[in-house]
Amino acid sequence: MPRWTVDAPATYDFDRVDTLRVRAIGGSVAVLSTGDRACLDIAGVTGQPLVVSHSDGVLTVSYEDLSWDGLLGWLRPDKTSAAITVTVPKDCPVQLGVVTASAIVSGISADTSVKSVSGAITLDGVTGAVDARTVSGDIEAQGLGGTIGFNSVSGDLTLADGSVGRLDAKTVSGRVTADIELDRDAALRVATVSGPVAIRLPAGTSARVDLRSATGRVLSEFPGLRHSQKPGTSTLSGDLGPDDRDAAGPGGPGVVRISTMSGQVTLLQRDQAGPPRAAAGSAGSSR
Amino acid sequence: MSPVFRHGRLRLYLLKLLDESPRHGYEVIRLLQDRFMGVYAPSPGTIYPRLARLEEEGLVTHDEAGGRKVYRITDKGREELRSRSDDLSELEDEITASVRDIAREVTQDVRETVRNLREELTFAARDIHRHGPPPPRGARPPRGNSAPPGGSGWSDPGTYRDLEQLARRFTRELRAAAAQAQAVSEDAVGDLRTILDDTLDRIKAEVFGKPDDAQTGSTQADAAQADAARTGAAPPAGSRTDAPRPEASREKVPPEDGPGDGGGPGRPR
Repeated sequence: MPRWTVDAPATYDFDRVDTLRVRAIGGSVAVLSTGDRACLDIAGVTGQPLVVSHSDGVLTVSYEDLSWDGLLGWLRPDKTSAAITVTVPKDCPVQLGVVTASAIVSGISADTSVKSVSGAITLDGVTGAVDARTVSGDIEAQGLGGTIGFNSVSGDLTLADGSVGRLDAKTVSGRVTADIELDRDAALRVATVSGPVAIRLPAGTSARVDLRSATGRVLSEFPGLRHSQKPGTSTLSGDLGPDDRDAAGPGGPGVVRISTMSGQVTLLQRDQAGPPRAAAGSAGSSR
Repeated sequence: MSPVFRHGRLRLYLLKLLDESPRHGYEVIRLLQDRFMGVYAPSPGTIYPRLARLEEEGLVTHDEAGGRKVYRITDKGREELRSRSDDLSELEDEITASVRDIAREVTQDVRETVRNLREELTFAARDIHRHGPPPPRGARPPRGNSAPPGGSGWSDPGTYRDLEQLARRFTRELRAAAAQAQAVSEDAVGDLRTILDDTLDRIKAEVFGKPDDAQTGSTQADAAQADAARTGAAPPAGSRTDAPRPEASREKVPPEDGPGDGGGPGRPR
């Protein structure tokens, strides 16, 4: 199996990469999609050398004896760091684990798994299923599609401009902020202990909504939700969507469930008259 | 983007690609695009004459295969490549650096969008938690029900936020279009500046000038901006938004010259 130990700047080309695994400690990781040729660039290596292997289409960039389970052991003050830049085909599944390194994944249409201790993760136009787990690292994402799983202790999740089929977000104190559209039959579930939740959906979104908080305030810009206050829970629930139920067409509305212990919950409404996606798109392409 | 290839560099890189393997001309073009993430897209009109010149110099030769020319490096070409190996490794460093630049730009772009969004939604949430949920639809302005920012021509901060969002979206789409561009002429930036200046002048005249005269813009984006401004009760002609300095606004997206100091929610950048 081709295997290299890298302690100085290096660049490699690969004919075929159909799975990418990167584990990094400090520094930065960038994973970009490319036409078809995979390329790995390593720079700024300090501390431990990286180990690169390529076998049967699986490209692995990691450190000796470093598994995800062992990652926490690396959390001591350590100067181990590298700048890793990888380009892979867009349909290449990506598994990424970082300790303090910041990471970006852009334009991948396959399953993308990201684990971080404290490194900030940026996702851009990742349309495959995303699974993100962090301790205190934030996830900042734009233009995601499909399925998103998010788990954190104190890391924030922010989603801009995505179309979501399924979002499962759980955090203790992280903030969850999203400005998204729901696919048909979408399921959006957010649970936090103290983290505030603010979700903005387009006006006219069709969904069954249930927002609740034990001690935090729950508010919606969408009209027509029922408020109920019981000892220990404040709930806002009901159906959003066109008055004419049949107009929603087949497939049925989505589900939005948000619950917190002490965080405040806000459901905001984006006016269709605001910045329509189609108009902005055509302006971009007609120039 | 600054020219990736300084004098003589493209020639060297062509030799390098042919040293890896004999290739069709179009394959060379595709590989170049690939290496540069589509940012540098050479046209056939750039590549074929250079290949022909390399052939005249005896550095490459070609065979006909299936009616197409397949270029191959000669021993003399390899010699040339060897003698300039320092230049070549420097060039490859620069190419890698340009891929890193792309990664950095994408990261900055997403972060900026996401931070603006977080701020905007946090602001909106605080707003409705303070003032209660809005009245039913139809009985309220497009969004937001807080007091208008004092001294600003914008009576509705929600509309101003819409405008900021439009501006950001425009910047993002522009970058995306640039990243995907197949062929970029040398004065693309000059052309863009002209188009943007014209558009900005139009926006000033038609949207921020006399709202009653505002006509439907030639693009939907213009129209959307006009809508945003109209519903925001644009100020009468001759008011403060009327006279931004054209020079200072050249490189910017138009609305940033708007009432950013008027207590609007946008964070100054």
